[in-house]
Amino acid sequence: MNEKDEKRIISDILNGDAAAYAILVRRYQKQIFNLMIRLTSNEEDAMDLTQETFIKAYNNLKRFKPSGRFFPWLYTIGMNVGRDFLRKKKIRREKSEEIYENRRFVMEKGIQERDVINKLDAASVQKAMEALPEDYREALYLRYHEEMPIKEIAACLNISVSGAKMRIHRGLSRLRDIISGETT
Amino acid sequence: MKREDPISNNFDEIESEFRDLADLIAEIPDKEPPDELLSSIMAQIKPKKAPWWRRLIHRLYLPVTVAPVKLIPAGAVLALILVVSFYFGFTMGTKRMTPVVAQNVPATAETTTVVFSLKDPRASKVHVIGSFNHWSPKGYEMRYDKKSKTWVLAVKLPEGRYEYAFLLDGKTIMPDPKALMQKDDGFGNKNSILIVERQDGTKTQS
Repeated sequence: MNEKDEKRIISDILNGDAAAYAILVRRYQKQIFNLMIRLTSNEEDAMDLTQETFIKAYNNLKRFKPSGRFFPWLYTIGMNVGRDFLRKKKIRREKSEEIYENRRFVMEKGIQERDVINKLDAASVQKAMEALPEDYREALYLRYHEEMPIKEIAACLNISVSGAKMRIHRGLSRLRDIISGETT
Repeated sequence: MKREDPISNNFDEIESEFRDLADLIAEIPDKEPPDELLSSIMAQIKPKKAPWWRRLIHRLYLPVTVAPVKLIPAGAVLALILVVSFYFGFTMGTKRMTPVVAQNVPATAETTTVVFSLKDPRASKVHVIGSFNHWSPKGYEMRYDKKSKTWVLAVKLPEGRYEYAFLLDGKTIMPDPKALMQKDDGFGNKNSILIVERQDGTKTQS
């Protein structure tokens, strides 16, 4: 399914064909569900928030600008839904404790930064990523996990292209600091 | 005067410096969403109709194919069908069926009638969606054949390689269980592959 297919699907939905929305949900449910897991660390909450995101997107579909791509627009809605949830529930996770744990984990593995990175696996990096502020973490996920172009990352995060590059650079630097056990 | 932006200017270098870390981020496993997520979302939405002017704006962004006026004689259409989802016992010649012509097919294009079939899934409505109809179910509802307990739909397609799936009750998408080939769509779901060849055996794509 390419960008043109998506535009046609959205046009069909706006013409009353609700069933076509299943195609968009099927395509993006995994990304949004995993975004919510990263935000809440809870699969049940992630399920509810993923539903809320897709329903909100559907209800506001008429506001979607057809000149843009659907995913960045959906992702922005998802980020807002997730942040609202955290704000209401006041369950922002305590980052410092996690950072400490990550540092300790890395210290046990070795001191040299390059050696540390070489010895790491994806699961360890995932743990270190959890200690990053969500703005940096999401920029890194979109870039290296979803392999998105900078322009779309900027659209997802509602920032400029140079702002997105800056965020990725700082995110990488902070992630390396966490992994190396240095001060963040 | 334009402001210098060292990060933007050296972004490629920065990325290559962190290549190892970036590769590990790429490998972080994703969790699969629960099976009921899709149907749960679809159960909560209702058909909508945007105002005419907004629908017009969206329509303007759709690709347009200009079909040549000249029609090719029906007898000139020679092709071989590779029907991936062919329910045994079902043959095109024995059933009356008006094929749907796939979208954006120029009138001069040689087409082949492909019959999609799905045996008796628990659904009250089934559509075929795929790359040939831009994954849009409209106009692609299958007909239920009571005798063979099979959902069927004939579609006229030009030669080529297509991805498709079945949409059950407008909620659940499933690949064709009888398809010879399946392909991961890159988002953790499977689509079925259909290759329509010409009778001389020339494949357009493999």
